[in-house]
Amino acid sequence: MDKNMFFDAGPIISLVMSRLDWLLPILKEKFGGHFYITPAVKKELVDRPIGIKRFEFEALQVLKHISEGTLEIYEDVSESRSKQLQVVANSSFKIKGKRMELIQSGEMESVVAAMKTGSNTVVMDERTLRLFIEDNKQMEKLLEIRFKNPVETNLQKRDLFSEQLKSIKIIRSIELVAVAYKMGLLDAYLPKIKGGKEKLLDSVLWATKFNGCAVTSQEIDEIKELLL
Amino acid sequence: MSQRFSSKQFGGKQQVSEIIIPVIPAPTKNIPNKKSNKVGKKILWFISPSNHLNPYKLNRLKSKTLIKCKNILSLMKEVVRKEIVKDLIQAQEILNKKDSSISLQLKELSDHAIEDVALQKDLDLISVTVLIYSLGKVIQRMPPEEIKDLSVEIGFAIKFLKENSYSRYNKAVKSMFNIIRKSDAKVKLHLQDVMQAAKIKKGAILLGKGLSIGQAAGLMGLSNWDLQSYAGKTTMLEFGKETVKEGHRLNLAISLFGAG
Repeated sequence: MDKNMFFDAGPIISLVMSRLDWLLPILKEKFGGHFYITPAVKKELVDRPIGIKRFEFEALQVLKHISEGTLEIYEDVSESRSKQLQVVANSSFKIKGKRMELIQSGEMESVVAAMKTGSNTVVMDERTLRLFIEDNKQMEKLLEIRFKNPVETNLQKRDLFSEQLKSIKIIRSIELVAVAYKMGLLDAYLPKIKGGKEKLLDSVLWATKFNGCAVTSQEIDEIKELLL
Repeated sequence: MSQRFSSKQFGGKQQVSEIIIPVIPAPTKNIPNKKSNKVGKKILWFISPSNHLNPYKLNRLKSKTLIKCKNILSLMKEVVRKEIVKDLIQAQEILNKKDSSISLQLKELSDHAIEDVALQKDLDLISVTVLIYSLGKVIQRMPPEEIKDLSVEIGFAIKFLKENSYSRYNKAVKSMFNIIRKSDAKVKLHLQDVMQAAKIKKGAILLGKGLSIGQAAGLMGLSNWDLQSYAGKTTMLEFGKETVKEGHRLNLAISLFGAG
């Protein structure tokens, strides 16, 4: 079976904004499989920003990765399946009697496609869907805290969603960057100072966080501890 | 009629029109439109976003006097109407106080209003929230007489909304933006930036409420790029601990890339 990895829009945005997207072709080679994006993700990464002055060049950078084959478009996405999962997710929680529509069907595409190919690996920086997949109770807690209101949970829907997606494995752009560091791909930036390695790792991890990867500072510390 | 939104409907494009109210373009591209006249397009930008909800009816009517049209304007939900009235009353009270903390109070009001946006996903509500926030940002530059005019216009907007006269409400909102734009050249210049910043700021709050990036960006008429680059730089979105331990996630990544 081919090795596949599906990318949500978030990690690509984080890498492009952090000027670390050049890692993608090298990582793909090391991975030895396909890096896929879905049409909805391509729309968000290229078609939309190309019409926005501020992100025009970023869109072209992503387009280059597509043209060169680093990122491939996975066309065979079941829209109905994405929609179905979106409906289940968005009927799981109510606040003040109102359904909380947390997720879009486009965002489900990468997950649905990953399940379809059996690879089940998704690179996703976005916290909401990740939290929903990995710990739906935590999702409920988040809503309760943020809205300062009780959350009515449809346990059946909530658990149905998580059950269907339990095989999904999620990594983030920050882990890609950490792996790149571990592989020595970033060594050209190693400063010749005392604690240079730590400085390098710290800088790339924080750059990724500041450019949108949902990662806590505590997790960054943990990565550093594990890799240094 | 219930309203459901998705970023597909919104198109997600950034469209800051001269009147600005609708953050999202009207869904005209799939509408059979025999007469795509300029007037029709212009009118689209003058109307309340709630009118975007029925493109077929809208298209049929847009070559006519859309602003005065009443039969398509009953789409605003009652709960939204009440919320907007409440927000506008509070905004008017704040403006009339004339104290030094007007900006701050308007910002606080807007922060409160965004909570309803998260629940209702309503474009009219989004417009008012963005309007109030933007007003908070530019009010210090506005001369007192303009602020007074603005307060009067808010009064009209409240009155028309209470009377369910949406077309006149839309005109009042349009006037509010005109007053702000005309008050000062700098304000005019500043306003578009402020509107953009307001949308990003409010979008980030929606993220904080638990909405996904796509959902929050779509609601505010932003791209994911706008929101993600802002979200990464704010600490307000950090929430508790991750369930999956970092060691586990990192080891998974290491094994996937054979970097062990």
